[in-house]
Amino acid sequence: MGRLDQPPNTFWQLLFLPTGTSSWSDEVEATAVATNGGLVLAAGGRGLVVGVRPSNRLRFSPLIASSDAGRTWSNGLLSEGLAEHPQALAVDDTGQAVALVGGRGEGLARVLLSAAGLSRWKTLTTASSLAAVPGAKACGLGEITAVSLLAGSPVAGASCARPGVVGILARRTGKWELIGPPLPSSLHRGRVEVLAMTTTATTLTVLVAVSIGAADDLVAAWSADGGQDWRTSTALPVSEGLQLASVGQVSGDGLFVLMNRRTGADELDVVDGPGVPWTSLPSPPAGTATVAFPPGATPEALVVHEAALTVLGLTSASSAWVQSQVLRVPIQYGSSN
Amino acid sequence: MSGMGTGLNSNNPTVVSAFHAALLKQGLVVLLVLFLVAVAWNLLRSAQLRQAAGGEGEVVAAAESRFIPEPVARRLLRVSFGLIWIFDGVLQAQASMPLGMAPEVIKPAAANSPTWVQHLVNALVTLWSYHPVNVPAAAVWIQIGIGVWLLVAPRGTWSRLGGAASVGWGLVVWVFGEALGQVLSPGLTWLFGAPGAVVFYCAAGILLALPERSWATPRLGRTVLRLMGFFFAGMAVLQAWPGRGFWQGQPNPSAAAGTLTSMVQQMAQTPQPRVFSSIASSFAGFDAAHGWAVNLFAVIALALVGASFLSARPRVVRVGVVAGVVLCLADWVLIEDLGFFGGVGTDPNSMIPMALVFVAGYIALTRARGTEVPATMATKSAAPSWRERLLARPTYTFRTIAAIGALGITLVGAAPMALAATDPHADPILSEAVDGTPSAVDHVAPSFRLTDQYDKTVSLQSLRGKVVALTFLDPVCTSDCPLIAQEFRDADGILGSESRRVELVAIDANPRYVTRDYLVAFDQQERLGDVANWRYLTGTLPQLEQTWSAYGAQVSYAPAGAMVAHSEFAVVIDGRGRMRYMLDADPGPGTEATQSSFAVTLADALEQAMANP
Repeated sequence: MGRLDQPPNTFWQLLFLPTGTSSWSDEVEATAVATNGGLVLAAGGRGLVVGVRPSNRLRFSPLIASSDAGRTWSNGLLSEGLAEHPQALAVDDTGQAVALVGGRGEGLARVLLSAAGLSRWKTLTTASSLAAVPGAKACGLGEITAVSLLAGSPVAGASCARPGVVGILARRTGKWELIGPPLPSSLHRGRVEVLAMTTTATTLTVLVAVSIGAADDLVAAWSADGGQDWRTSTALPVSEGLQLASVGQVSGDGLFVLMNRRTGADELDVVDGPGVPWTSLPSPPAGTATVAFPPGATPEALVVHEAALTVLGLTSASSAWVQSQVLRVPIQYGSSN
Repeated sequence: MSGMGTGLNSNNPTVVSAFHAALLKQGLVVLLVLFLVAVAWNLLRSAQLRQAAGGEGEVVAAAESRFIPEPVARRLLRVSFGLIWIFDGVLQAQASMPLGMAPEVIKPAAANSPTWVQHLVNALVTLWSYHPVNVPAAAVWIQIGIGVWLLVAPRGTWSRLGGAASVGWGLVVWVFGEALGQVLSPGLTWLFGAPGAVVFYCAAGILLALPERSWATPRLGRTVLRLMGFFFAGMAVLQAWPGRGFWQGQPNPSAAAGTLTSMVQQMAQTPQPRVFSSIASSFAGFDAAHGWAVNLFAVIALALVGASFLSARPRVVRVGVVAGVVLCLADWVLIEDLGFFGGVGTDPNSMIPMALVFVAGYIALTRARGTEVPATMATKSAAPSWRERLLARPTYTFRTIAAIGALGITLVGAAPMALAATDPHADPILSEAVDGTPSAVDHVAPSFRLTDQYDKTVSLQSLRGKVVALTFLDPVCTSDCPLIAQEFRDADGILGSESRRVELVAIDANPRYVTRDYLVAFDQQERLGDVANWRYLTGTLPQLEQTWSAYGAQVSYAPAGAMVAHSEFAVVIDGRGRMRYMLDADPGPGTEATQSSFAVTLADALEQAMANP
């Protein structure tokens, strides 16, 4: 939020919807660090971990964690900067965490595993080591874009230079293996990048972008057995001019994809699980930053304009987005200059 | 680039006042020089009169009286460039020069040049930014000194040395201040002053530095005109080159403006008297509508002037010279917008110096024969020695003493500039401009007992005997704290071996991130691990809160993703545990210059505390 054309005046916000209420709140105890570089959220059974991306002169990533819905917070620390990917941090139900640091001009990309709490980390692998494993060689491993934990085992998602190969790698018995899902034959010529990767207790869900020439398709894939068997969704063609804005989970194993268009209506698509086609929801309002799918409630579009957050709910009757809340955030312009 | 320039507003009152004060002080030194010149003149004139009374000077005076006058072309160059140098010196005294020159003039001049040129220019940008009082003041006196030198020394060695000084300083300005006149950047055009005004100052200086016999024949004038002819012809070709945007105006307001149109539009925005901005705006409008025709005219005019110069035939050259002067004047007014407005204009741009050079070439070509030095006059045996002339001829005496005085004025500027160039640290005036001067205090420093980044307990008591620089830093701060830490590190470097008597202490100023891990991460980030006397302290939140309170440090959470707000100051505590100085530690714009300046101020305060325990 803030002045999005000015990085020092763009502040990422922690917002939450308290259980049993219908109003969003920004009354999270302060992060106590400037969030201009972005926030990376990871949710697990024990609560939420928030990683603060480096910005300006800060080169490492403070972490804060809460297990009581934001009432109290504890600290962690990554002595390097979290990578510039929304899925650069993941935590499982046991509290173990995996992080992706470096890359994109900020040093060699590395995958770290928490050793004790969130302040001690050990290096699991680097981008160059990962690229050398047999399966990854076949994929032509490019940039690591996401990390996760599946039943205690680290999983990494990456882009592949070789067409038709999906760069999902899992660490099993001390070795990394390519476990990426096979793509439908119609997409074998496409170059693949892993956009998102989430896990529940047993299921690994990934969203990949497949590019063939100028055309892009999105495909979701699920594996309930640690990557042995995969089921994929139908391909969701990305219309020209659309840009991916937000990806997230909906109830169960479903995913939503929000795509912004520079001029014209944005697009919101949902896939509920394997074997179910993508569903397009009514176009969310212009300026929608992300969409929330509260359990048992209708979707809500979160629209940001400077310091104002406008929440609009999708009415089931009229299929229209109706404003339900306006929240003004007390942004401290100029505080990061 | 962070670090280049001072980052301060160009009319910062502290720096501007210091600049004017320095000019005033140096002006007093110049007055002293003039006084010494007057005394010397008086003494020598008295000696001359005594000699005249004894009849000893008559022979020399008679010989001197047979000397021919200075060639007209040379006099034109000498007097006009002398006046221009003085005018440039006066322009250098403008209030915006100390802080505006580097970021608004020098750096942009190199922006489109190759990297190696930018590196060259950065040397001057750094020097100017680090010493925003001494270096601009030096430029004032060096240029005024050279100007006076040229004016007062019409003949002989001193005059030729004046020309050489003009070349030397001109080259410094051309290379470091004008990025080689931007000749290596795209968009080079005669219309906007390529290859830089100072090239013509250098050309004039070279001509003035030549032996006087060079002016005796038309050869010199012919050479000058030929060179100018090639230059104009080359500029015509460059101007005609397609794809550089000079053939297009601006067909409609929404279309992209051509190169010349946009250049003149920019010039019209320069703060200046309305009459000049409206002239520039009108021409910009004309060029927008008739861009192709304007460029065609420029190409043809440049080509014809160049061709006339190359012909070397006096009648043809005369037409070319008149046309060239008209063209230069038109360009100076319509396109260069006179060049010296806006508060950081350093010279009247290139057209006037350029015209003076080719006019001098024309005069040297056409009037040289009448000024040929007779062989008998040119021989050394026929001329009196300089000592004889000094004692016998009043004008020679006056000019020699005046030239020495002018050299003195130049040195009034050159000496502090040379000193500044050897000082790698910025002038404390910058930190004073940001934070004011350190406050002297004298009371017992509050005690504390905390843990350092190495897990060792540190108290103020344990630091007794050492001078302590203490501040409060947030380990996850994204802006000022890393800069303040670097300023502490730099101050330690300035102290050199004396730093063993100093402890640099920072206390954690973030209520959430209080564990030692954060201090270590901050030290790694800021490469403070190799600073032996650096102590970054933390403790429990109550311990920290007590220390913050004791020292008056305000620390508070800020909402909505902002960093913790905390006071930025540093205190200097002497070896007896008494607070001696309090410094505002706001790093301001955080450039290399202000960082270095604060380090010098802090180091000064620490040295004071060490010297007066």
